[in-house]
Amino acid sequence: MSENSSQTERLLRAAAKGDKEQWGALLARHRERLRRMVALRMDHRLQGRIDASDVIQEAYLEASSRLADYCQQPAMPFFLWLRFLTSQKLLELHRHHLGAQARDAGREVSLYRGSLPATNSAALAAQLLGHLTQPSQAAIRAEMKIRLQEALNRMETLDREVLALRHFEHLNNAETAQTLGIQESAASKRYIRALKRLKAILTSMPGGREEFSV
Amino acid sequence: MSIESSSRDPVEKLAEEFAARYRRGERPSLTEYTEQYPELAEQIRDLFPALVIMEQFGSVAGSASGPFRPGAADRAPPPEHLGDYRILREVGRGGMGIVYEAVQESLGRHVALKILPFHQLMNPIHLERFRREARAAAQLHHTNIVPVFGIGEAEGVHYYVRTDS
Repeated sequence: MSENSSQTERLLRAAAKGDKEQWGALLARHRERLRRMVALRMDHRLQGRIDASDVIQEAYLEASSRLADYCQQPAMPFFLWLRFLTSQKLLELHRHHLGAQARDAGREVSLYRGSLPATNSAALAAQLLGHLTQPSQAAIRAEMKIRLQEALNRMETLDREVLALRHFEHLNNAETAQTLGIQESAASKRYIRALKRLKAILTSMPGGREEFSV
Repeated sequence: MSIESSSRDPVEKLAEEFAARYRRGERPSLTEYTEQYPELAEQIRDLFPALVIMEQFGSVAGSASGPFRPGAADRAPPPEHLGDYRILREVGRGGMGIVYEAVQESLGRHVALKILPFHQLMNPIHLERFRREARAAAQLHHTNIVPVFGIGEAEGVHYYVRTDS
């Protein structure tokens, strides 16, 4: 998977020759994973001010203007190239809107953007509200997200990053390895190690043993 | 298969496949994997539930309550009184409200009050949903669900009341 698939190659060649339709089809195929990346990594201070699809749109414009160069010498698989351009756009936006504070952006995983229920309160609130109501389900879901987020934020950066790439951005092992600049075997082992740590942290949290063990 | 890919952790390879299937909407069982790979069964049982949690709760988009962050307003001390009710303490917080333990002073009974947080008042859809929830809950009769016996608004705060069970 470190090379572009033959179908991608074919679409890329057509796009480089100016076939707008094929180019559109190629970009559309990657939009969902890029959207996940932007949603995960956009600083919360910019949420609501900047739309993820605008970031992706700008990256696509950049990709269009640099397509010929890319096709001549692809330094990385096409999707990872788009992801790289998108992350550059996101970085620019962070710098532009947050200035000096931008360096803090994206350090932690931010899964939950709602108001924060206090830890451990969801079960109690759910009991009070009755399990059947939609809001209490939303609250429990929020609670789980927050716990997961807390657990991830307690992990080493690289472990957290491996898990985020694999499960939030839907990258496979080869893409994860390439993004992190490590060998596929190392990425594979690191992933299993990170998953073990995550499991250990989740089960050590209050109420975790019941909810997280099967 | 290259030398490099064969040095991948076998459980990781299975996890990649499992996650891909999960995203396609399949819900493969753990036993499907543990039976096929008995030598890896222990690790699969240990790690795949955490994988599922990542997949299930890991999506940032479509989170329950919109673009609000926890702020000073949400952490403001609770009101001391709401109409006939004296607030004792906060007992819970959810995506759509804060639950307080309170005393209904005219009757001297303990109740649970659910309050719609201020910031959600800004959103008429939230307010309507909150009222609908209260009305729907009031119509439910079930041994595991405490009855609602009041819906109200005082000093701009919307709340509904349940027995403190």
